[in-house]
Amino acid sequence: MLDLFMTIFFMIIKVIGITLILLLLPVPLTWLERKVAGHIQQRLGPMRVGWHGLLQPIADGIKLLTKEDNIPIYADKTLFKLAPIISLIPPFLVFVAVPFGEDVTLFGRKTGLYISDMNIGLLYIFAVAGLEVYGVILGGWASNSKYALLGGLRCCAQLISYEIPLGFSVMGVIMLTGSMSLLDIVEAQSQIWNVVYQPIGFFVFLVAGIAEAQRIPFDLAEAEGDLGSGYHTEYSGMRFAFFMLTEYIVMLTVSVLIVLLFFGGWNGPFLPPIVWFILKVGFFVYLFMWFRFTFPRYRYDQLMSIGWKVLLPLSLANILITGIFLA
Amino acid sequence: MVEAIAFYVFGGLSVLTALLVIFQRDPVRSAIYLVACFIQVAALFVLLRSPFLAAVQVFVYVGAVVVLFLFVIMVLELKKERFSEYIHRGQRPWALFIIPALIGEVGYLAVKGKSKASLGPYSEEFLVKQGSTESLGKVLFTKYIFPFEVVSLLLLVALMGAIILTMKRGKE
Amino acid sequence: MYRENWLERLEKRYRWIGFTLLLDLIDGLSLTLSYLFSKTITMQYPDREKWIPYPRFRGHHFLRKFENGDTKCVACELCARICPCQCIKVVPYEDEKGNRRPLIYDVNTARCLFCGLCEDACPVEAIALGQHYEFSAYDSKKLLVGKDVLMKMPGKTEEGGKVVRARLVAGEKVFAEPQGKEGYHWWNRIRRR
Repeated sequence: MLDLFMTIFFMIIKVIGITLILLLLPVPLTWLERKVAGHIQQRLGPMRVGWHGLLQPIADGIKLLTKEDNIPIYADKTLFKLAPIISLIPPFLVFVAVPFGEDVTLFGRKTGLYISDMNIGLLYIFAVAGLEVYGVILGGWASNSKYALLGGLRCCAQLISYEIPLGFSVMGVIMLTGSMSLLDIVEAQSQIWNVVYQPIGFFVFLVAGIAEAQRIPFDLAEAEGDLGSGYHTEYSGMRFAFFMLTEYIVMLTVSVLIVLLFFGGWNGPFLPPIVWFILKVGFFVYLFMWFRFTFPRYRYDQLMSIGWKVLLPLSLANILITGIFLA
Repeated sequence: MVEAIAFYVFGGLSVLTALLVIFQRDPVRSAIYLVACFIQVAALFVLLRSPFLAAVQVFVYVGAVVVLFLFVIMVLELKKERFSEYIHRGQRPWALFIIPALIGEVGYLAVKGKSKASLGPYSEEFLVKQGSTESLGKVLFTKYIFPFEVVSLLLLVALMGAIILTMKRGKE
Repeated sequence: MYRENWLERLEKRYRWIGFTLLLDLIDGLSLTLSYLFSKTITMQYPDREKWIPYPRFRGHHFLRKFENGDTKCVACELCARICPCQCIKVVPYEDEKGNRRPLIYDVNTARCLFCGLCEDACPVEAIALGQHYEFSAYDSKKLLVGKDVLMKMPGKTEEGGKVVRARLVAGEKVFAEPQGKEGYHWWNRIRRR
């Protein structure tokens, strides 16, 4: 009985912990993004609130909270209110299956740094990550505005197109490991990282991951220039903040997945595992920001042809090559 | 006990959402309730100890099929359905006959029918030991490799057909 | 007709190699990375720095004075005449020494376009446009400044054009107070390849 109680207790603690981490991490990430943006453009970025603008995200949060919450007259009100919440749920669900490290001993009990080690972990992650489309497309539809609808439709087509190469690029890793559990995949990389065996798979995953996270150069769904920021054109205040939060959590998810699948997760010499994990994830988050302020946006037809004519054949070839080497 | 409660909750919700799909007049909302229904069904698959099927259900149906439904609904701009417009005059008396007949059939099958197929070697202990996903994959690629390949070929033909249908004629 | 030489043809032929290896993208990334670690050109006005304008800058007006504190202005009203937006109002009177001096000298800085024609027109070099530029107000009536204020305004400094260290003063008037004269020219910080 006590054992069951402790298990449930640990589960609740872990769920609350991960939720808090995911809700709070975008706060420093927005600061970091603005700093990186500034310094790449020879500016300083936020400097006035707090030391080097560290408290700027909090000021932004207060601003968004106190802003007018505007709902367009012709909007579908229920869906308009529901869409930001729907978009926020899937990124949180993904982290149910994401491990952050090996077992640790807490209060004299061994517990894993993950909520659930699923047999089908990777498949679950892709299935749940696919739900992310709904928030965006419903938000675009409910706003009843042409820019929002166009953004939603673009985003929908983009996410569906890039989910396919994303899924196929992971296939090589699954074939190497023989398991879809992320724990097994990380354990298999304790000697050599998967990126050595799977450079093509890594490349496809990275590009498709950027497209899934809707970051530049694939941020057509929210192209400020031609769509007036796309599906969240009509959103303001806290609802808009929900969409921003989603975007950052998805970016974080993609970085975490890259690290777990191709860069050996928490494996690394000298430093404790969790530090390695944070360092690697941080590097990829920084890479995304670096891309954002370097590359211009792709045109829509270019986006589609990259997805279908370049990434999909590449990922299929990767599966074939991996199969030949394994056989 | 817990499982039975979970089954009735998910089953009831799936029936409720499925009913809401057909009772909604706004096609977008219908699609959303369809998503909810699919997710409940996926939960039922988990209860049946088939997480792979559940994940595929969410992946394929929720993540792709209904999104394409929504896409089409939004692009074609279907207005809220007017009830009478789509019902022919002769339909109602027939419906009065057929619907009770179908419900009766389903009910009879549920009560009297043989709802359990033999599991063969795949007992619960076997699945736990080997993992349901692995055994499914093994069976699919050994015993049922021929139907599997036939299905994939069929899908390929359908894919090519779709591409040819949408190709522009006047180019050549 | 232009014919490519052999090197250009070779480059064109094997361009796909660089394209496949994403050399263009890597080139762009390395450029932005080098910018990331280069010096920023942000002028932290008004918190830390302030740009002191050149002496030729046309900022807030001021009236020059004699050593005894009298204004140099002889109230000839030439500045009011030449002013294209008619923002200067001068009313003359005769002071106790018998000099023609302005009784009222109002400049409506809300209307002024800072062309500097009044400075050119002035025969005694009394009115001039200085380097002071932080005089925004919440009320446009406060922008109508009289003779007393114009005489108290700081005059021109000898040098300028540099960014100096400063401190933000946020009292009744909000401005950045310069600390010292050592500074740098902002355009020296622009990165050139």
